[in-house]
Amino acid sequence: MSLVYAGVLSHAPGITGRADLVKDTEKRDEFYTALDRQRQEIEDSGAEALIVIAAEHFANFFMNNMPAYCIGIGNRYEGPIEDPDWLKIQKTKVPGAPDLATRLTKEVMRTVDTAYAEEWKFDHGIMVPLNFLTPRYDMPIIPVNINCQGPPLTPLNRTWEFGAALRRACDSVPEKIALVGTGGISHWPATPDSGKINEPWDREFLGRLMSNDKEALLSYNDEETYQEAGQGGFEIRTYIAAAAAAKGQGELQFYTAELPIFAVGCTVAKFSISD
Amino acid sequence: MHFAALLGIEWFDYLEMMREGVNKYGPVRAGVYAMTGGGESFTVEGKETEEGKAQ
Repeated sequence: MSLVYAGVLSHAPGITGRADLVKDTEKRDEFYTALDRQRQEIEDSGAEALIVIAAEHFANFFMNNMPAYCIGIGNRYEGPIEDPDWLKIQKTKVPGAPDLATRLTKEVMRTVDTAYAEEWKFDHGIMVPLNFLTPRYDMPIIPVNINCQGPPLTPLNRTWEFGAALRRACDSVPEKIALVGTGGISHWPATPDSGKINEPWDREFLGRLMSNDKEALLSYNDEETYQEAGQGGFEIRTYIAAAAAAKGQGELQFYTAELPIFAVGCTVAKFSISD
Repeated sequence: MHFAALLGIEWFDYLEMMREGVNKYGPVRAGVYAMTGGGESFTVEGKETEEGKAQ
């Protein structure tokens, strides 16, 4: 067994960039504490590398050519692409894990076609999680992208198979690996509706996710998700892939819809690793 | 969102400018940015308006 940790967390840019605009600072700090506990759990797992399954936002891939899946096999990465004063995360270099990532990619390719990339500019979708989970930027990162932005979006059952392939790949190597899926649940980013959160929808999804109910998770369709959870809701794919990789039950460690300035329901959770 | 930041537009101004654009030109009608949220302000932490109401 080499997958030693699996979890999910939110990544919206406001989490760092608009921290000073929060009125309910107690709730904000509670969220940050949950993120720091996730950092500690990853460190305690002995992980030698961290896979971040993210939803890239047009920093590297664009509407004219966006792979369904991509794995980073670079030696190092840079980020954030955003203005550091806006995101409140300084530009930095992040170590990659080229040899390990290449071996993982080859194993994934046995069942799921994935692209790979040796160059990758990190946007907030990866840099916000790293800001909390590897604040010293000293853990090798393997970025993974699932197309949650540009139609045709990969079907949820394929997302599940991709997560399962990542798990099989992790188990095929001797290194200890942690994995997080990062996305929003319901949210309407980059629209006038930014800040709207459909809490009932979020909690229903999180219930299915924490019970790791494959059938219930894969029963969502994009039309309904779009109506109920906005275009940001398509990012449930990153959470579903993490659940498929973990196979075990989840533990919801934090959720709130009461920080709308972050423009997402703020989530932290972990899964047990099951066979 | 990133372009607005590049131009130095503050967050609440950015949201308001989008709403003004929707009022002027109408909502996005199709595609992944077709509006489904109603175009209201959902950000209660917003800056105070001239009337003193929080947006």
